[in-house]
Amino acid sequence: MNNSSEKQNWRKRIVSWVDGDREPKDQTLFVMERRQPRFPRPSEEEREKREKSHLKKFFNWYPIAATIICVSLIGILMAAALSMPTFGQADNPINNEVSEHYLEHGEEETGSANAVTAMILSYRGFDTLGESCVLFLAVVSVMMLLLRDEKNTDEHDLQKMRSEDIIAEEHHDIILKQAARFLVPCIFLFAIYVLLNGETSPGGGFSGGTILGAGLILFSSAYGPGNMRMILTYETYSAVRTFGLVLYITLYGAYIFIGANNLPNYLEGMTLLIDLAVGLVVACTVYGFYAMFARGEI
Amino acid sequence: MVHNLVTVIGLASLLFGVFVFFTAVLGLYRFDYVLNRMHAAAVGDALGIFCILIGLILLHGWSLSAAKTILIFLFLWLTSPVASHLIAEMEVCTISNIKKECEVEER
Amino acid sequence: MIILEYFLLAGIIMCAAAAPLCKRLLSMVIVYMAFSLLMAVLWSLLQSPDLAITEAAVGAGVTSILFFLTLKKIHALKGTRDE
Repeated sequence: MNNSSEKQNWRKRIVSWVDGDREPKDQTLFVMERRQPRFPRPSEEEREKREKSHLKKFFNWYPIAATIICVSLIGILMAAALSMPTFGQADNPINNEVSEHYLEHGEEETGSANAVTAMILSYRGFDTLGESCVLFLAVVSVMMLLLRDEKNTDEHDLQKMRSEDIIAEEHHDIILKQAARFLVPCIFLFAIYVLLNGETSPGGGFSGGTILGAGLILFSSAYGPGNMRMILTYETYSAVRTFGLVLYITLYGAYIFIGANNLPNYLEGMTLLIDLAVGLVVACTVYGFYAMFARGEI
Repeated sequence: MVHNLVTVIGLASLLFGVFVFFTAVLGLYRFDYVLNRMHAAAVGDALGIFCILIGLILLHGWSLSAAKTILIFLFLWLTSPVASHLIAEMEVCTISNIKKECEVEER
Repeated sequence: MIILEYFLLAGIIMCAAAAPLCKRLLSMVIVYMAFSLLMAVLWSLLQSPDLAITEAAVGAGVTSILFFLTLKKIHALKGTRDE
């Protein structure tokens, strides 16, 4: 009995610590705080004056320090650029057997005619995996900070959002809506073209995903969040985002495993699927940033 | 002969497009009020893009790239007026003494 | 082509110098956008169209939208409807 109540107490303390509340005060600390401070606290005016003088000093020094840092950085970069090998020479260190191999055997080994896609998605795919994880984590942290729920939203915010919605409803813009009606399918089509054509022409996951996200942003800002929720709810959004990353990890893991063990390459169109996965992650990142910053909800 | 003529027309429309863009930028800098500046930019945008892309197509000859150029030009003609309209509407909505500057049609 | 590249490089340096010297945050964002567009043209002149597409879409499009939204959220835009 005693044990279980103690456990509950611990749980409560941990939950309050995670929520950022102050810990329940210790009695001894309480006594220490009750004592008279040894030095009298400065009055309000005095403190303001001191703050102002500090600020003034800061603003005097700030441009000077910024200039010094910038000039020294420019100097270092210029010196580095001067000692670099000249552009386009045949005996430069970048013209070694690695890039030669990529350019010569890239098409038959990865099955994509575009050397850039072949490189970032199969030879250097581990890099791209890290980048996708960074994007995923960025959206997760922005959501942690900006997603609205009942704990960090008060009545005032809700009131303001409702009044903004009413204003947007009154001023609905028929020109924007008609233009978006024509443009959004075109943008989606172009995004899919760039996404799926990354093997043979410039483009690929990152650019196609960004264009897809831009189309979603246009749709959301033209038709409002109510219509947006018809095609993309929060659950769908999370599912697509996670599905993209998991698909990438699975495919690339299989790719590394098969390639490393010298098995015959059954998965010819692998680059296409990996492209699709990266595109989904990037599109969700872009749209998620927009939605979080604009309204705090998907 | 025909080839030369096409080249000359293409170059002329390219130069005219650049001139239109120059006037648009000049208007953007010289006018004072937001709506006037926006008007100069938007009008110059549409005509300048039309002239420059037509000139490019004439100079380059008909190919797949020319078809893509026409698509770009359609896209820009569709989006740029909408963007200018939104800027103008934002200005009319937010400024308080709009009546002093110009006449506004009530909607 | 070489002359065009030099013009673009000069424009990029000018934009980069102008961005921190602007008084208003909004014009700073717009100058940054111009920087990205010039950079995209330069990428495509340097024959890397992949980077050019990504730079045009991310640098000029999405980043500016995010900056504008942030400015709106911290009430740094003039003429927004909240007091």
